[in-house]
Amino acid sequence: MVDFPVISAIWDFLKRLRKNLKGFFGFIILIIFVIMGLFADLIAPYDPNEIVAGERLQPPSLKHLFGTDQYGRDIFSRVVHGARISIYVGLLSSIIALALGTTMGLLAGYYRKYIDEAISRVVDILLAFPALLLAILVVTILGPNLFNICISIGIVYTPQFARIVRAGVLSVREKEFVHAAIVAGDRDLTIMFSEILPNTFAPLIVQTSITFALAILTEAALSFLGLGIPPPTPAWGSMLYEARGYMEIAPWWTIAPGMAIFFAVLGFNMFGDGMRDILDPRLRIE
Amino acid sequence: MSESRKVDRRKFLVAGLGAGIVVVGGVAAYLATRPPQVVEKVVTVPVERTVERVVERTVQTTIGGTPTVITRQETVRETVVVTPEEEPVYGGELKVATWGAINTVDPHNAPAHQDLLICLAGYDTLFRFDENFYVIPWLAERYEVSSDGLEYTFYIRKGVYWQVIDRELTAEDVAYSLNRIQQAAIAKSYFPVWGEAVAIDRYTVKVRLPKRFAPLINCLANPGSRGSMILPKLSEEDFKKLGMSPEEFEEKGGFATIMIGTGPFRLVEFKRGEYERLEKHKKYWSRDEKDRQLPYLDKLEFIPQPDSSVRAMLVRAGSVDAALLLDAKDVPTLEATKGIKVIGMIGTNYCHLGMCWQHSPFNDKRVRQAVAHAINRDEVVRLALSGGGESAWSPLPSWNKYHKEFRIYEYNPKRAKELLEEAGVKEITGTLFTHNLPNAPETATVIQKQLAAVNINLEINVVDVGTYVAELKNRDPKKHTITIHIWVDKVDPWISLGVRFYPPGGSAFLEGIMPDVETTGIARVRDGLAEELDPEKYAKLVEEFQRIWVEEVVSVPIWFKANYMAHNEKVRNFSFEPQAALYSWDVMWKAP
Amino acid sequence: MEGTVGSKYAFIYRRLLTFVPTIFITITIIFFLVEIIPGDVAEVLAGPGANMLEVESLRKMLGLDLPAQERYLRFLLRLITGDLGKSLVTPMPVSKLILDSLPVTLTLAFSSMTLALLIGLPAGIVSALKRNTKFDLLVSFGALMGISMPGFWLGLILILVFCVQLRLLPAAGFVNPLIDPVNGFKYIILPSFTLGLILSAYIARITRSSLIEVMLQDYILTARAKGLSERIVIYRHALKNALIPVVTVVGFQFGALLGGAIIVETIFSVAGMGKLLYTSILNRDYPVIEGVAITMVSVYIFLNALVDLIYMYLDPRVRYG
Repeated sequence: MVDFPVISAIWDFLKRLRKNLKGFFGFIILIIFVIMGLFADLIAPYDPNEIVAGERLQPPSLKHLFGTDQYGRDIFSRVVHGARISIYVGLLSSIIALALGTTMGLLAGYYRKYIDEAISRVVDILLAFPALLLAILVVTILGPNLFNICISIGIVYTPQFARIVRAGVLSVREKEFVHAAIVAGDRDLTIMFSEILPNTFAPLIVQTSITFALAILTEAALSFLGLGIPPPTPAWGSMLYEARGYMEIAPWWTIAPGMAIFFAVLGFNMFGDGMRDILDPRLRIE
Repeated sequence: MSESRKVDRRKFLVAGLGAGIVVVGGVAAYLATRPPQVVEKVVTVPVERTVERVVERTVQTTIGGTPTVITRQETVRETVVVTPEEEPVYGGELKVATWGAINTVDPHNAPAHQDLLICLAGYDTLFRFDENFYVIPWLAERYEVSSDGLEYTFYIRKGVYWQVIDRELTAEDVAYSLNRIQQAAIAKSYFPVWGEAVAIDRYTVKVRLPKRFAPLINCLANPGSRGSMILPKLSEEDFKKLGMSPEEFEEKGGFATIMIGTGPFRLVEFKRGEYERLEKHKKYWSRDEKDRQLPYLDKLEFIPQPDSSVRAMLVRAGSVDAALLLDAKDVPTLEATKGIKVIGMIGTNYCHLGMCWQHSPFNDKRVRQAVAHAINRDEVVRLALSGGGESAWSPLPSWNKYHKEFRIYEYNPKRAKELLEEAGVKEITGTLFTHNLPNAPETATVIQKQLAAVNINLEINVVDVGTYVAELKNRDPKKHTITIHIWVDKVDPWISLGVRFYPPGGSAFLEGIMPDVETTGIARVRDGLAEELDPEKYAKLVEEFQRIWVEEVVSVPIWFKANYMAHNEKVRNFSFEPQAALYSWDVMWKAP
Repeated sequence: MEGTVGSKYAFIYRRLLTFVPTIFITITIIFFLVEIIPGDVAEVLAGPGANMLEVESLRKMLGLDLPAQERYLRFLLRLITGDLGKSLVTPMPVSKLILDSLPVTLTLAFSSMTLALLIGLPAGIVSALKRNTKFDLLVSFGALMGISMPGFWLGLILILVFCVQLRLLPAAGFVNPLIDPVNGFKYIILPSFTLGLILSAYIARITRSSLIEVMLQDYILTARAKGLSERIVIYRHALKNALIPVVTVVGFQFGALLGGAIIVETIFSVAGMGKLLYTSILNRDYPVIEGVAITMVSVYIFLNALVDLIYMYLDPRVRYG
């Protein structure tokens, strides 16, 4: 079997991950949630949206592991299906933030002067606004559905990516090999992708895992305010929103999705920490 | 790092993670497995009628065009809990948790229901509805109307004093206030026919109309019309007493922030979203049955709190003395709390389903009928309102004098499917559109399932109120296939229903679903409502209006929500009259 | 140290220069963003039960029937004279609304930050010094849990336990601690705890990692080699430098607290600036949105400048000439 460099790199990475306990556990938690999301239909005992009027607000039992909500829907099934939504949200938001931020950072760092100033101003303004309020503004404009929420969260977390990429560009820009490439006549875009970008991989990957976790939290916060994913989709945040008025009557309804969010985010943070340790043990935790 | 330390670290991390999970899981399990509390609530309408008294009423009206004075004796039943020996105690402050922050205290421009709540504590109307829906005198002692219905004469009560500017209410004030309605954004639409009000002497006002407008007196009795509340005409002297110039008054917001009314309490301070503080009007004109000065309370404080469960918590914890508009799910815990009394009755929040009349397939009556048959109202009330409401078979609530039930389209999914087949519709897809205010998303969740059972598969779209109102007027059959709409019933059929079809305004909701007013007969009924002076014929018209509404499926009535209020037992004389939208602030008192 | 004084002023001057264009861009972007939002104030105020007549009249009354460009120019002109305008929903001056929300916001921000520093800083420092001991692992893991916790969930659970079950503390409302310390404390403790606990996790983590890295630096080894006591080494040399990234985070978080505590403000029903911005977005009340946006951006710029000044004190190697 031919030893592809990519496969050996991944295997190497997995070996190092196993040594780093935090990252490893985080990875396990993530795998659990990914499996939950992918095979939700198989794992969930009931249809997450099936309304059974006669069984509303039941506490956890053998029949309903996490109890039922005000419509008689099984909460465990809803939490399992919610994993799918959360992963989707995390993934899409991170990709959007990554794409937008990288573009902005590259342009700012490479071309400097006015473009840099303009982009830096915009980044500053984006940062001046608390993340949630910015997301609220964008969602109100676009309308609350799954896709738009991902866009708004992506926009909110773009600045950090832009800053990382810009810093990376600036630090590498003056180096010899870049000069050589310019002299050799390589096009700007080529230089950007082949020389500058690879240097920023490590912090970008770490930032992506942070953003993934933050995206899940932000989606939950948006849903909690009533601006999130519309019913009856079993998103964890929406479940918390629906459960809010029933905290005394049916506390299990609040606890289950909250715990799900907590563990998913914990998993991502542990994994991110582990990655950071592996990729560059001297990188600060911020 | 030595090997043993490495192993230690590993073991510790595993132990830590395990312990953490166990602890967190244990706490969660404990909290989670507490037995459920019964949240089903069946509403009995109404509650707590204990006091009866016989009252003589004098009403002037016209029958067949002839002005007549009618005197009738009535047994008035009051929703009051009073132990006969108890004497009301003067003084004290009442803290009440309400459902929303107010925007303005200018009653003529007050859009929201919570604005009305505060305004009614401070302003009076010319007339009032009693609980049997008769118009009784209030600021106006009596009235006369000419035989052609074009001229009204109001005789104003003497000895009514204004807050703050400390002078008597005169006909000039009334005339000014009535004419002001035409400049007021919100109130104007309820008084589409108007000429001019003129003060003929100190206590008499004449109003001339260009054509007959039968609902006028009802509009002046109903707070829901906004224009019924009387504001003062501020003179130079008045501004001096206020301590500001007319320009300063406008600068500070005018009547929108400064309350000058004749009512029992006056708004002295408010911080939007935090509190509204009112103080007693020392020269309030109304007295109790033993001729003592009202109100008893010194101060009122309203604390807006949009979350029903938090309002319930506040009243249980004693942070507030009373809580308004509670959800049914919060009631059992409240009833189980010592020292808390809960009152419940069907209120004025009304939910119905609208379809795009002008677009296919809803322009086919059979499709609309199918939708009406597909809805199981009882299930919606049970699941979305936790039982706190009644199924609606008419656009008017059951306690409304004009209410008639029209159970034309009972829950029958089989029949719904048959109708759809007849109409040649295999499946309908689109969006179930509504806003995110309480009860709307929950209703949508249940309705979506019920519609799916008859092959109407809709995606739910929940937006904030601003977007909702903006999109309503551009009704798009794909984006707003079916809309779940909640409005506050305004009690009087004209104000509640008729106005919505009166050109040119209509209603934002109905704009998009505007039925054919000519062939359905709505236009005829609507015009009749505006002109019919005979009360019996008027009632017949309203009955027909309801029938057309339900039968032609203008919209599908779903539920009327129950209004629960809770107060601690120290509060006496706490009651609410839905037809007048009045809480009994003027007669409430606190036992020490 | 030539050029330091001059560079300080130059630094401040340059900062001020960026202030004006930033504010201008902010105002313009916000204005047109609000324009894009479906619906305007009139529609929100009129409410779902409204009819179009009401909406139109309200619109006229509020001056919204003018075209967008005209409204924008009028708005700019007002701003230049320093007038933030009046809210369209309740005709109160925007400045008053913002000032009214300040006591809540500042109290919440200060108490949360204090709590976070009191817990986070010592935890981070000690765990860095006692690296890889049980204490360190405990703190690290706890901090990890802290940053993973959804803030509003923590708040809800706290309410469930302390207000509903134990009836110890009030669940909603605000009392100014400067006026009434005892009650003020009771009302602010839970919201501050909700925010502060999570913040302390962030602070602990970055303090720890920063200090660890600094301790590995050459100049620390040099100081130790010189024979200085461990105490002096830590306090005089290591900590000062380690605190640099901590200051960044604290500054940033403080700015975020001023407007971003919206969820906590909603759960605990306190009317701070975050709530003000949130309700004004829902209401499309653009003078208020603009007013708060300007305030937030200004505070952000100010905090950034402050943080940089602190840098200059902490790390003498930094020059802004």
